[in-house]
Amino acid sequence: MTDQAPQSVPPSSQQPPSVGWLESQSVPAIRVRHLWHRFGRLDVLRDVSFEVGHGEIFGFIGPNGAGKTTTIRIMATLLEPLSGRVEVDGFDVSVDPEAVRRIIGYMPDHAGVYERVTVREYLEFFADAYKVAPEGNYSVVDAVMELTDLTKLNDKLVATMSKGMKQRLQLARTLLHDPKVLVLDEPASDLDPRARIEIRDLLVELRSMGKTIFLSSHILTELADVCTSVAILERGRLVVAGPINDIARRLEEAAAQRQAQQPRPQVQVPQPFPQQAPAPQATGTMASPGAQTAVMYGPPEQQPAPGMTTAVLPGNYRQQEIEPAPQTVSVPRRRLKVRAFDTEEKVQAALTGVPNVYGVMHVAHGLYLVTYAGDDQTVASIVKTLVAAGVAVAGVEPERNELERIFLEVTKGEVQ
Amino acid sequence: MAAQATPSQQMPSARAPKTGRIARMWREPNAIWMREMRQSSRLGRTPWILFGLSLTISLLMCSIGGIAAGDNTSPASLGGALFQTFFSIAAFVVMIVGPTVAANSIASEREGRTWEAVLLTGLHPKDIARGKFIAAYTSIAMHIVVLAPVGALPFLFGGVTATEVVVAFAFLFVFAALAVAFGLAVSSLMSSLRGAIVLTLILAICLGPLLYAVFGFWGSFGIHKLWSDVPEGFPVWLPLAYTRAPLGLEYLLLLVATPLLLILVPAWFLYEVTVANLTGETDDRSTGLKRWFFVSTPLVAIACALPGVVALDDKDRVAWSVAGETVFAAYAGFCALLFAFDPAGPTRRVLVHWRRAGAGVFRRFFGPGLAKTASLVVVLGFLALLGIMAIDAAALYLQPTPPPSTTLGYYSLYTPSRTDRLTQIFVFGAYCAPYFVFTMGLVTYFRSRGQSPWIARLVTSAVLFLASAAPWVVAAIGGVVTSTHDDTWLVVGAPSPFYAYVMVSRLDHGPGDDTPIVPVGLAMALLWGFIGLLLLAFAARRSARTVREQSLQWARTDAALQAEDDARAAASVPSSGAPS
Repeated sequence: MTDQAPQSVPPSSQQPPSVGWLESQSVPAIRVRHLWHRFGRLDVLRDVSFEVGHGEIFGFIGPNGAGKTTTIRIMATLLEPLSGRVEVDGFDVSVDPEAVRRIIGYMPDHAGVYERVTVREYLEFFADAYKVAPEGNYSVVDAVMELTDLTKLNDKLVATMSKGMKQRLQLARTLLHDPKVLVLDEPASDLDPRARIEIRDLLVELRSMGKTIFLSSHILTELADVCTSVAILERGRLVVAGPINDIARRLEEAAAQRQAQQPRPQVQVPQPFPQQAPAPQATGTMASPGAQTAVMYGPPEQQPAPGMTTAVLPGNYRQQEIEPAPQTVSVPRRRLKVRAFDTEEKVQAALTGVPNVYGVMHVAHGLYLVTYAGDDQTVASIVKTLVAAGVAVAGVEPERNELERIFLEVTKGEVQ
Repeated sequence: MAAQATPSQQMPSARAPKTGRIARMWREPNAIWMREMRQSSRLGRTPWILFGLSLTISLLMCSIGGIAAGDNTSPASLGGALFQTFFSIAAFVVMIVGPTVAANSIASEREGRTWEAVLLTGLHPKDIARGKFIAAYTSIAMHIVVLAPVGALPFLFGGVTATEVVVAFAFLFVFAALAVAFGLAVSSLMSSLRGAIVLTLILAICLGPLLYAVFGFWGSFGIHKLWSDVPEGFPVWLPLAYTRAPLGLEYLLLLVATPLLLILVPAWFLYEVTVANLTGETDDRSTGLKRWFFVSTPLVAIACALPGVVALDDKDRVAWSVAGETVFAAYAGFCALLFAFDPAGPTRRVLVHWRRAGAGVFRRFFGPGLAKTASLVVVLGFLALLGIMAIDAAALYLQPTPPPSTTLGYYSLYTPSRTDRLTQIFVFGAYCAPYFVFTMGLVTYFRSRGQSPWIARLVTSAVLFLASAAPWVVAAIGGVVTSTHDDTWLVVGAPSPFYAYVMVSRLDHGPGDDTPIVPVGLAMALLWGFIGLLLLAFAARRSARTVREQSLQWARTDAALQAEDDARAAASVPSSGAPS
């Protein structure tokens, strides 16, 4: 499927005067501009602006009460904004809700289903309602059931289905009219791991068919795997929006600028292991559940962003500080999980003197945390060095995925 | 995951060709209806409920028949009694069960969180309302059909004809439609299923017996007076009247025009209310209801004037005229509170759609806008009240003057003259009309101050209640304190709308003391009218300001966004023009 699918063409009678069909191909799939909304005296959205390009999987992230669902409901034409404008494929949701409803497939958070109908009857009803099954020709239902792997549940009563299957049925319902844009509010909430994986795979598949997917979720790892861009909302304000890599790069640049304005960090002299660190709350960072201790790098006043400075390690640990190579620009430090089947001494030795590498910590058998400053090039050079030193590297991954890192860095944990 | 089949590859692209409406309905029945029927068919308790109901009513009918047979009652009388019993019970079943079944429909979708999915399919609220109506009506119609064999029993005994039984069943189906429409209208307003059912049940239990008493028992006495063949005191008289009343103008007016009016006006109203409640707040929710008001008001006014025209003597004419004006005043007051939902002006969406559709003045006038709506309701309501007054007064005036009465009146020796009778009709209307203007002005004023519709209605109702009751409390206390036994303190009640009845009564009983009951009442009516007009003027000004501010805000937003677009376009020109 492509964006040029004929049934996505708005009927001429419904076209907005300012945006023609050809022109609409050049406009973003979703465009939110200076959006404000208020419930009573509470501003739930404050000047929110972002754009979603065609064919993207866009993650919409924020704590509870941040205004995600309000934004989504406005986008889905179910709520009128106080001010600002939201356009879906060039159609203003406030002015042309009918046209927008033809373009989007919206799956609300915790939506209900009709229980006393079969899967097929459920989808046939919506096919009739969308008027995509003229004179009882339900081939579209067959196609959607095949796409969402529901064919084998054809005659199953909806009431007897699992939560995951109901969620899948909802997704099938949103696909019946072949929408260009899918707006999914917490699609994987309350689902078991298998159902989550299946939904995620389905989203990837839908993206490959040319759909634009707007996805809100609390589960950052889930978004990190599929999203091309994200927007983070906190207390009704947009904190950051854009492709994940761009945001990460910008944050690094900003952090680097902050550090450049501060006194150059003192490089610590290696100390005997283990080093007992202050409690996590003393540094203003969050600790993982079950954490016993935390390790700080450098003096507190030189800490990089939260989430990057405090390592919370389980059980016994040891850390070796390494004298870094001279640097000209300060950059935030990160951690890399390295799985290597070699002795600790060999790994330490291999990384000693490697530029931008600040320390190696043995976490568990065959698992090391390498503290470094830099980008993927640095990671590549670490791996290269280890391999060159004859260390058997089984795998490398960031200690925290990029999205989690961004989220922790840009939000303050405030709710409204 | 499944194969890469896309809906679009297999999706038939075009909609069904537009042929006849009925053929299309047959080919593509209402989706909501079909789905509800499928769901109902899987509800195990439905057949048991139907079986229990028919069994209970059969046993009841048999019991009545058995008791009556023991008293040596003639079969014809027994048939008549069974006819009255069966259709009275059936009417109650329909009046209680119908709204309850319908109340379940929309509220359950909202509570079950399936409503938004339905809305987003693009189904028009009218289609949703129709689908829900047909589904609930099918359910209640099944109850009636199950009862049909029991309902045919009276015909076997005699006393009623087959036509009368068939007409009674036809009316039962019509009442069922109204009951379902009522339940649906309540359901469309509520978001909680329990709330919808409880409210519907309370209203149905209060209104059902009231309507049964007014149109059943009370109506039978009036009809018997007119047509002696129609039995007196039997509530189910309407089916009998169709076969027993002589054909003529009165037959057409009372048995054709009035029932049609009493069915169609509420049915249309309930339909429009349901559709308006299902329509988004920023859409045009006003046009349907304003059209209904525009068409219904003259018809309701004629219906209210009619009893005064066909009454048999002058006294009855005045009584029926006052009753008609009272009913119309209640209707107008209800409409004044109803239209408090209208926003200050049309939303941006409505304006854009009007512009695209090239909407004319007429369409725009019937669209959203508090000031326009208030002016329509006030003018039409005021004119209709004057119309009722004029029709009844003309009917009275054109009657031959009765001979001087020789009998003594029940309360006094005074017999009002023709002029007194005409004055009675006039003063009652002269009080009602300005008071209606005041009511409309008050609710419009509160609404224009940004109050929500329900708050505006509540505050207005409270003020009206105070204005109605407080003067009488003061009058009563004043009378007791001063120990006066004449009508002096009655004039204190002039601000209350019930004072209109005092004026009519004063004219009925002739001049008593010198208390200027009627002049004070008329002066107070003028004052109410003046206050009402002032409030309307304030409301119109405020609404206009709100609309202006809204337009300005939209213009500012448009300009800001346009400037942003222009800046963006300007920034992108060099880059797009640069060699790659």
